[in-house]
Amino acid sequence: MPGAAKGPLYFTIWLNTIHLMSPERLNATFAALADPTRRAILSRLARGDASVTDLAEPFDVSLAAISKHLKVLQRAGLITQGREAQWRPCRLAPAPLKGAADWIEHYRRYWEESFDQLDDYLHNVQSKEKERGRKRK
Amino acid sequence: MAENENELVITRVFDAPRALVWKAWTDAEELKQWSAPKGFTLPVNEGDLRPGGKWRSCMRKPDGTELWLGGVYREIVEPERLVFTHAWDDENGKPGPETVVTVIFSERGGKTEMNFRQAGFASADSRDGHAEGWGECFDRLEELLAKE
Repeated sequence: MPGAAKGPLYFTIWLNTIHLMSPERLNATFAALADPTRRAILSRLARGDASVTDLAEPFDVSLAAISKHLKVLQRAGLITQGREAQWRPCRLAPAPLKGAADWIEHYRRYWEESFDQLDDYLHNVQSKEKERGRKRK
Repeated sequence: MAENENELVITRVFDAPRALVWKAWTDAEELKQWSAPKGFTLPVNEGDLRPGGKWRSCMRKPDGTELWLGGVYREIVEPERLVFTHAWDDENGKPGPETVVTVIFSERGGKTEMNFRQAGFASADSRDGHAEGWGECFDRLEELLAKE
């Protein structure tokens, strides 16, 4: 329906991410992230596009090894490689990270609960300490 | 119960008798007419209205792409209480994360108060997206009920 109303913005944006939460997609995303070199490449690309040579520069590994890492990232949909320029710049494709972040987000309440428990524990310890101090006097 | 991050609560009063609002929520053809936000359509909608019965819909986005969703009816107490599960299909056509929708209809002097609650969202983004999506659906429901 071209030309029709675009529809609600947040609902549409969210709908665009639901297919990023499939088990296969999450497997690929987390597998790609389970390597320090690949995480470093993503950090570098978060600052801007870069050529394969640029990306390889900080690492003490061969260009072929970097190419392998880039392929993993590409298959996971985390980066794209341009065809327009001679140097074929790599670019971050953050959408699958949103799927992974949403998956993790589901567990937020549990770690926040642990902080609440830590808070209670510290309160208890402090009041016991005070109690002891008073007794000593 | 207090509203929390994983839960969406919407209350609306419709200028229509409770039986009509109930029908709009449970009749497959009526649902097609309102249960999609502005610019979206529901070309397919079918449901087996009994506890344990399944429902299935196809929502067409303004760009023409289609998304499937469905769930299972848990409680059906005509004309006051409807509980069902709700999940969008993932890219492999399998149900994704599930939420639970509870809708309670109360008579308010010839009008009907609808208390809608959707619980179990995987993220605040999902909840906010649905808040907007359902909000538009309920605008359409209001228009549909005004016509009847």
